[in-house]
Amino acid sequence: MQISKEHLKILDIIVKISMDSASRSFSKTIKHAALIELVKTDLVDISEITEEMNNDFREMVASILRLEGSLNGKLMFMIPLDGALMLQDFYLQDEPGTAKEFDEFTEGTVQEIGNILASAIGNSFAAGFGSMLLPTPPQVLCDFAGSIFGQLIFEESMDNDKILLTETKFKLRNTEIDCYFFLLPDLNTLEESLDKYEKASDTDSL
Amino acid sequence: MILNNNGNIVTVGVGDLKVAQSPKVIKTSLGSCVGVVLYDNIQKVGGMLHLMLPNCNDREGKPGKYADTGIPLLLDLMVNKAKSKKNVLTAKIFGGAKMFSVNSEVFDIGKSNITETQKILGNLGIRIIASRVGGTKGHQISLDTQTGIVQSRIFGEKTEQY
Amino acid sequence: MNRVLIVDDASVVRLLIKKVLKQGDFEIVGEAVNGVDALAKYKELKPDIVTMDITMPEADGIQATKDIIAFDPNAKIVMLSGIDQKEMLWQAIKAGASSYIVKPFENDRILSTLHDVINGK
Repeated sequence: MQISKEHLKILDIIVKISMDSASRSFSKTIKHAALIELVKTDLVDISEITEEMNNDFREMVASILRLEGSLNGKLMFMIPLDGALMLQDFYLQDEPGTAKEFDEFTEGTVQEIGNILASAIGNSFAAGFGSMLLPTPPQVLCDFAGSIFGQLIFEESMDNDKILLTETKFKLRNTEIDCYFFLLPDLNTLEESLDKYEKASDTDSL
Repeated sequence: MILNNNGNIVTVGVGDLKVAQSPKVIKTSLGSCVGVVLYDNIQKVGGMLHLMLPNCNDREGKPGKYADTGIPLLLDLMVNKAKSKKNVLTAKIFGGAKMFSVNSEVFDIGKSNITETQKILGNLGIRIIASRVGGTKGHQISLDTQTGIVQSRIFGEKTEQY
Repeated sequence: MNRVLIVDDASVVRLLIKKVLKQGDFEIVGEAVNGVDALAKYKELKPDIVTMDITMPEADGIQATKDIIAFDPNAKIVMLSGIDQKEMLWQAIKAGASSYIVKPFENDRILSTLHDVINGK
């Protein structure tokens, strides 16, 4: 898997702008600040990135979606189980501590946050690339961090030892809850979109 | 991510393999991937492979991703680097779940991984003395190289020893 | 009381919308989980207004809006969607939606939009 340094840089900037917008949507959705602690976009070695994940012993809830349109990709929002309960209370405007056990509403909350983040990213990318990008209905799963992440990158890892990955870490303000958002752009459609983007920018500057 | 910074813990990523000696603990998390554990009870040396597909089919890239290239490589490391005697090595296998798939094109790869792993270990003459495979959930395993015991924890179930 | 049908595949979103609407003078007469269900419930319940999600299994919100408008050209449908794109807004308006609220929404905004639509503003 290859991407030019220049394209990686453009992508990094577009992603950072998108994540700013996504974090605002996220915060507004849960009526609580979700602060970005880290955003990085890079070509990563599948063994190295999963080694880190496989060392994370926590049980997680994740929402996985595809982005379809002129740019394809996969997105995943992942939060520890206890964090998901807190997120549910924020989302449903309940007192903290109301949600006690993982149920369909916890699942739905994680699903909805996945939707909101995916839409924010899709909207920002669509605005940047001037095309329509739509998220598919999300799949929610509950499992170990490493097992979930391994499945997320499975297809891309079949033929590549390195994959293009954006990792964003959010912290919910005044809590100890960290949550994660991953974006795996499809390299072929990404290159096409970035080429178009560059050409359009060149024409604009004439 | 919360990292376990215990210096005695060695973690194995997807498509990778590691060999370590007592008192190290080697661990990984599996989904449809299969974890192959080889153990040398004499030297207290263990090896772990985290494979994701049954066959290499002349694909380039990490040999540890595939059962047919990764298992011989793990054996080679145990015998030639760790100086284990092949006839004392035993195998344990884990994982190979039928996980959710983001893409329906990826079929039940877990099952093929298990079958191929069993076949290759058999061809290499390595005895499988324990296995906990299949299911639909993720699996965490950790090998204690002092004892050869593997702690196996499937999501939603109790930790068991193999 | 204004009678509302809530259409969304996610139970948690329906629950949230119910909580918000109960703060106003709205009566939730029914809930539908996809576009096909939405048309059936609309025919059965004849609500004053519908809140409609877009991305759903079976028939999506755009298709459901077309189907409901075909059955009742005066139906009042407010789209509630996370998709903030001109094309989607245009498709919704063409399908017959009266208004469009982009998620994440403010409680007051939902209440005021629904009132405006019911009052024909």
